Amino acid sequence: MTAKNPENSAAVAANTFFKTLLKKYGVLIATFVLMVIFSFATPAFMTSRNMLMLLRQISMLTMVSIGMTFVMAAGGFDMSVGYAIGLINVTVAMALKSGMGVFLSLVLALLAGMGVGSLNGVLVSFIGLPDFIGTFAVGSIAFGLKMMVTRGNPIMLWDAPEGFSFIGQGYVGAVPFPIILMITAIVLTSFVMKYTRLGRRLYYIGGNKTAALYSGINVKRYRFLSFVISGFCVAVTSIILTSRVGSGQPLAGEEYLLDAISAVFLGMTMFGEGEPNVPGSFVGAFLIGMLTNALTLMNVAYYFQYITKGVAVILAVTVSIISRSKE
Amino acid sequence: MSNAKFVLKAEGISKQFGGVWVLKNVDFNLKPGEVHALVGENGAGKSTLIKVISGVYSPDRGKVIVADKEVKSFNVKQMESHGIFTVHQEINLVPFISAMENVFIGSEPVRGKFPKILDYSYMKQKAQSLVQTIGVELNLKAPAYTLSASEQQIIQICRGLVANARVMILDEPTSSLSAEEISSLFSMVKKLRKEGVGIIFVSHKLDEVLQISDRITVLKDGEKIGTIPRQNATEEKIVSMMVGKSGFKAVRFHVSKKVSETILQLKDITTNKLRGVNLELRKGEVLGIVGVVGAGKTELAEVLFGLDHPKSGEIYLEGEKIAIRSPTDAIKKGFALVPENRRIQGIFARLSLSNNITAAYLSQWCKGGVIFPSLENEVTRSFIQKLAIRTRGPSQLLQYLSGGNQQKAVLAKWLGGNFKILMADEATQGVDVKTKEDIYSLVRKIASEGRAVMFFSSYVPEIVKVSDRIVAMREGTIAAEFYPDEENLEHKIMMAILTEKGGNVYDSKES
Repeated sequence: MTAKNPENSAAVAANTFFKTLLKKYGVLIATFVLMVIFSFATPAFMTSRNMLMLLRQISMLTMVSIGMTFVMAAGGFDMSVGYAIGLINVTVAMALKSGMGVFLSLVLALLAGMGVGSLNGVLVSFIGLPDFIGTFAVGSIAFGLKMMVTRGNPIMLWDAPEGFSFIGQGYVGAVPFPIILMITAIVLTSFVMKYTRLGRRLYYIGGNKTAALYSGINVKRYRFLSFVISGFCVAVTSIILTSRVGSGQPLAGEEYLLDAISAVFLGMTMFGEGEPNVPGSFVGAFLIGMLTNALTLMNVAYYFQYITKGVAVILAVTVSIISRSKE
Repeated sequence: MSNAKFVLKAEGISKQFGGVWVLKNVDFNLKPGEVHALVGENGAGKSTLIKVISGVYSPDRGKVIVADKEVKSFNVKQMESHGIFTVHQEINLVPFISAMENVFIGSEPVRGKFPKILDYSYMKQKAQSLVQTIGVELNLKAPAYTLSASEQQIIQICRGLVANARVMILDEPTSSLSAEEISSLFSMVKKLRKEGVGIIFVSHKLDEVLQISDRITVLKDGEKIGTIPRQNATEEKIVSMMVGKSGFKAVRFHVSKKVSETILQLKDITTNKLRGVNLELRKGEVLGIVGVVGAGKTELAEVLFGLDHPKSGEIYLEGEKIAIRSPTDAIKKGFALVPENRRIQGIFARLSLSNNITAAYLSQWCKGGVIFPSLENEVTRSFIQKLAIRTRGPSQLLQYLSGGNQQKAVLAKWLGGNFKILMADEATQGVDVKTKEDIYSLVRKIASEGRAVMFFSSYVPEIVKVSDRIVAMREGTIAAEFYPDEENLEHKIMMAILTEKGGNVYDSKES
């Protein structure tokens, strides 16, 4: 009985290998397969022009998702990001329009983002509201505020300062500036999450809040910080968005909430063992952005794009759950 | 044999977990209208036996006979249909619905076929008559969360009565009750007995056992030592049955009685659970703190680790009065805690071994807030070697390690740092025999380095084995102090933690 059927053990090994592959790189593989399919389906897809456009499109989603990664690594959720992006979008536009300089407007935006994050943090971490309720309520307040100040009308920036327009529309050589911002953010935050005390402590808290407390980690302070970081990322997203569209749009940003959560979930299935991670969130954001981009190029109706996005998230997360439960 | 002599008979029950037999050929029976107490140390097998009888576990050997019929399938629902109900220590009522509705959860009376409508008037009638039967006053309309612990127990007992319980298992029913509530519980038990219900009474408190039960069965190390009628029982006798001949104390550490400097002194520490704890801890000693579950050991550790704050009392660390604000603060002041519940408080199951080991003193493996993984792995490897942790390597997730190796990781988390006082709360729970020995030697080694260890345990033999000095806790305070070379030590300790008489009056000596 000690002698194993060699064919059988080879099959088992192949099976294990396949599962590991699916588990760790399922989303990445799916992304490549879809890229190949799309490039055959529409010649306009796999061009350097479209790829740069796609990356520029997802730069904002990536930024929000990075913030969400920090919050989710510590075991939380930030449901306020969608409306908060809109609020800061309107704030920046109004500040610029009122003649405030570019620098001051940006500082104001970042402070506003961190303010929203701090409010989330106080409610959820210090007062102890459930994440979903606390951050959703803050989102609702953000929505109300921006509707109040704009009365639902867009704020057009016909003559935005050049320095400001550059953030969302400029190029460095052939590369759009938002892509450079995005790559910088990915590198920086990947490092912070993986190699700094801050990042590690967020993972401890997300891994086991009680054990983190019993290991002397100030759980409340670090959870608070994760929300502030998310607020900062929301502000950066908003700044790029405002510069790209050249206006403050009262209804802008709402779709980022679900997309960012989806991106982090897609990314959780990658690299590590199911923890939120920045490179994963980027791949998740890329997959979501690519679906929108390619389906638009293929003239697929927008409602079908939403359905596809939903199905993609369900598939990816299902695969990762199944491959993990068979361990 | 229609008129059964026994409502319940368990014959030759054996049960093993992971190759360890926790019950060995245990017989137990219960007559109608009888209170049968089940006593024994922690880990003696009481709760396993109860879980077999109530259908949570199925026995590996032996059979359970209820009303002359052998039970074939073991699950809680099945046992409840045979009339066997458990009143749990941790009460599980639905908080926002009324006491009355809680009585009928799972057996709601309804009228009509479709739609089925709850029959409130029947509920009210039935609940009132039940409350009368057991002779208590209870506001049936009050939502469950407003009820006191004893009232919640009444609800649980009523639940059983609704379903015509013939056997009622009371698992440590008095642990969270006041003296008054206990006496009303006992009068309730007497009424139940009159109704012909058989009652299994599990308790650590021997005075209560002697007061209420008709027969007493003592378990030790998974074996039944004996069953005695109450007339023949005294606290002394029960304790000697519980202690028995222990094969455990054979190898005792050579402990020193030399008095060294005091490192920690507690004066009148009082919280909700602690009633004026006075204690002194010396450098280089392992202080064994022994007590049954609920005696206040964990609560004391929590105070010293900044997880709970005393209402009154003073803490002196190396002669200086301190307040411990939080675990972060406690660690800074030199405390370390191996917590009671490893899975919930100790480990990060989904993180790697190395991440687990560096969790408490992370700053030590960082420079300017940046972690150096090579340093982290090096430290982890040295602990893998030193503590003989069985693992595939530093990056293996902790959830794939055995219980004993997980506990070693929790210990390693502290060993990397420069603590002065290690508190180990039930540190050998759920670990294999080999690891237990490793933990004992480790604790001795820490003390020999001049640091102090507070070793909290409810298992008397291990307390006797590792400690330089022993204090017994009972009902939130320190009842007695012992030295390991005393005659008849285990027996004395057991008396101190289980009975009121056992305490030698303990006073913290002023330094």
